[in-house]
This record gives sequence, C-alpha cells and structure tokens, in this order.
Amino acid sequence: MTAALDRALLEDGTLRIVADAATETQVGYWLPRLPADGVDPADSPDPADPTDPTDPTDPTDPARAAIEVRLSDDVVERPESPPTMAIGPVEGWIHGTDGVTLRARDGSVGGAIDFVALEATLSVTPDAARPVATPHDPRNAAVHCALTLASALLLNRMGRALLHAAAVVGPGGRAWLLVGDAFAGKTTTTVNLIQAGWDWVSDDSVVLRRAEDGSVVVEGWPRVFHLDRGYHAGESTGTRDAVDPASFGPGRWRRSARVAGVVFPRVEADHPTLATSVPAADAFARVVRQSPWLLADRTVARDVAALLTAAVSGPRVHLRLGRDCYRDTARLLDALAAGGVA
Amino acid sequence: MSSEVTYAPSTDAIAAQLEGEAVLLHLGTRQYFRLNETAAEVWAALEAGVGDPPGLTDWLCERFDVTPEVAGAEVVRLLGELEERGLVTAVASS
Repeated sequence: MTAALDRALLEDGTLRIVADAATETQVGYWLPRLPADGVDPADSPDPADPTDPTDPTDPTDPARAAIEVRLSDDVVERPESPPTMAIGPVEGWIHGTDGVTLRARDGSVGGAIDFVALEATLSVTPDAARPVATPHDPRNAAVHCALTLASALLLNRMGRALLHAAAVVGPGGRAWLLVGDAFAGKTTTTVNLIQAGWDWVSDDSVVLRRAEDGSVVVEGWPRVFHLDRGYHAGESTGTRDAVDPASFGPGRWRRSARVAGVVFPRVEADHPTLATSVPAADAFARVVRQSPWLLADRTVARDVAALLTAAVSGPRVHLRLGRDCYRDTARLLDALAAGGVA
Repeated sequence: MSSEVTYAPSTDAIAAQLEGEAVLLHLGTRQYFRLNETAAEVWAALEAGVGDPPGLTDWLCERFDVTPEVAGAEVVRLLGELEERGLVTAVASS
C-alpha cells in the first residue's frame, strides 16, 4: 500500500497509523492533532525538569504496533457468533489470544487485528470513504468507531489504556483526569481551567501508561474542542460547537504528564459548585464504564485493571458544576482546592 | 451450600483491590460488585486458595474483632451472593 498518511500516535512512536490516499480524509477526521511525526522537537522533554514524565525513546524499539487503513470493496465477512462487544455501529469479535474481527453492521468498514504482529488492518468501502460535510457527520461514525476500537485494543496489548476522558495539568505540573458522560462538563471544565492558567492534555481522549517508577502517565489524543454553545453567555444549552482550543490559551497544550488524581464532573446548574470525595472502588467502576473496551480482551484484562487501579489510587472527587462557576473560574478553583485538586 | 463445598474465584471475575475495598467485575455480564472491607478480605482469601467456609471464617476471625458465629454467617451470605452472580465457582469435596 502506498501510504498518503503515516503518523505516530504515541509520544514514543510505538503506535503508528498509515492510510492510503483514498481513505486519508476519513482517517483525518479521527486523527488526534499531534505533532507530525513522533516527538516534536518543540515538545522534547527537558532533561533538567524532574517533573517531565517523558521516557527517552529506545532506539531499538521502533513502532511496535500499527493500524493500516485502505480502500477496498472486500470487507471482512460478519462472523456467525455473537459479537464480543459493540461501539456505535461497529461490532467486535475477540478470538482468544490471537486477534479480533471488527465490522460495521452495514459492512462499510471492517478488518482484523493480529495480536501477535500487533497490526490492525481495516478496509473502507468507496462509499464510506467519501468525504462528509463535517467530521461528526453520522456517516463517519463507522470509520471513527472502528479506528477507536482498533487503537484501544492494540493499546491494551501494549500495556496501555485508551480512556474517554479529558486531562488538565495543575500548577504543580501533575495531571487530573476528567471522567464523565457526554455533557458532564469535561470540556467546559477544561476550558475554564485553561483560562485560569492551567495547561491541558486533551478534552475527550487520553492514553494511560505506567512510568518506570510505577506512577501513571497520561498522554493526550487532542482534537478540536466541542463546547456548549451557551458557554460565553454562562448558560448550558446542550448544543455544542467546534472550537479551536488554542483560542483559550495558545501554547498551553502538554503532550503528557503524570497523573495526580481523577475528577468526575457533572453539571447541576441549580446547585452550588462543590467537590466531594469519591471512594476508590466507585472511581474504578466509573472509569471502566466510560470506556467499555477496556476490559473486553480477557488476555490482558487483569493488566489493564491494574493500570486503572493505579490511576484511581490518588485523590478522587465528584465535581458538581453549578451555574455559579460558569463564568467565575475563581469559584471553580476554590471548589477544586477544597476537594484537594490543585 | 454446605461446609463440604469449596469455592474459587471464577475465571470470569476480575478484582481490583482499592484502599481496603474491592470491585469485582464479571467479564461476561459486565456487572460490577463492590466489596466492603470484610468482603474484600474474603476475596483475598479466595485468591490465596482458601476456599472452604470454615477456613474463610478463621481468616476473618484472625483479621477482625469478630466472633466465629458472626464471621461464619457473613462468609455463607457472601459466598451465596458471589456464586449467584457467577463470581465464584463451587466444587463439592469428595
């Protein structure tokens, strides 16, 4: 395959995605907005900074895993057995330790993951590969979900975990995961904290891994923010617009940071903003519930559970977001500080 | 259930030990089961290979200020719940 798109998806370059020219646009809708190839020199770790979690890239460890996307009418047949899991329009069948079959219900996208080779190969039909009006056009859902599942399952085999979560970095240089449903307030909280001087990693999609000292590092898969249309008016409308995150604070993106703890935001406009402690067991269950692929692969489920257990071992707070903090970042910071988040 | 039955964690169960508590997840049903401190100790014993109710009762009595009668009743109740949810498997002793 002649690759029109070839990008590193992780800071250490161990997962890549390649796509042919015919699928490049569709893959681009899903693609995180990362530096063009591996570690951007501008984002290189500062060896004098002990808080920088970036591990040196091992030159003997090139891309361990890859996702290949190509145009083809020949999409894999649907297995006869019931699927192991389904995300949106895409179903997945995990075949023991060997691999996975992925297929959209309408047959527009499909393929396989080879767990031995750590390679996912996805075929996209010409119809599904047509550009759509916006990245969030429902016609793009099959490609988006197939890529999410393929990357999530490969990451699990690499000892990492893809989470549906935001991550922000406080003044101390440690990251806080923001975990919650759509419209829970992840993006709004991220934007408010950027405006309060915090850095950000992602507003919706992050990858967790263990550092050599056992701590957990979060790495961002940032995309365009989708912010409530009423944000600037201090209202919650339930309708979201695409917004460039740089407009809230240029140069504030961090590729990765060590995890300090987890915040579970939820909008309750008519109540005062308040942070309260969450038991570790509840936090674990909430994190897994947000990312249903995490424990789907039984071969590595225990390893992934151990990584998540470490991720929720720090402070955990439920953040009730009242109307009082919509345009008052000081109110938000006070509530978070009272809950031990700083 | 009788004392001649021994129990073991199901291969469908994943446990996360968290600050004295634990969460069990059934990989098939995707259902969670939260264990309090006492129940988390019973699960730790099951994972350590202690599968008979008298042994589990002794395990609790060694770790908590509790009478054998109370601990034994808790063990029986918990094992019944775990078995009902497919989180442990029971094997009859010969």
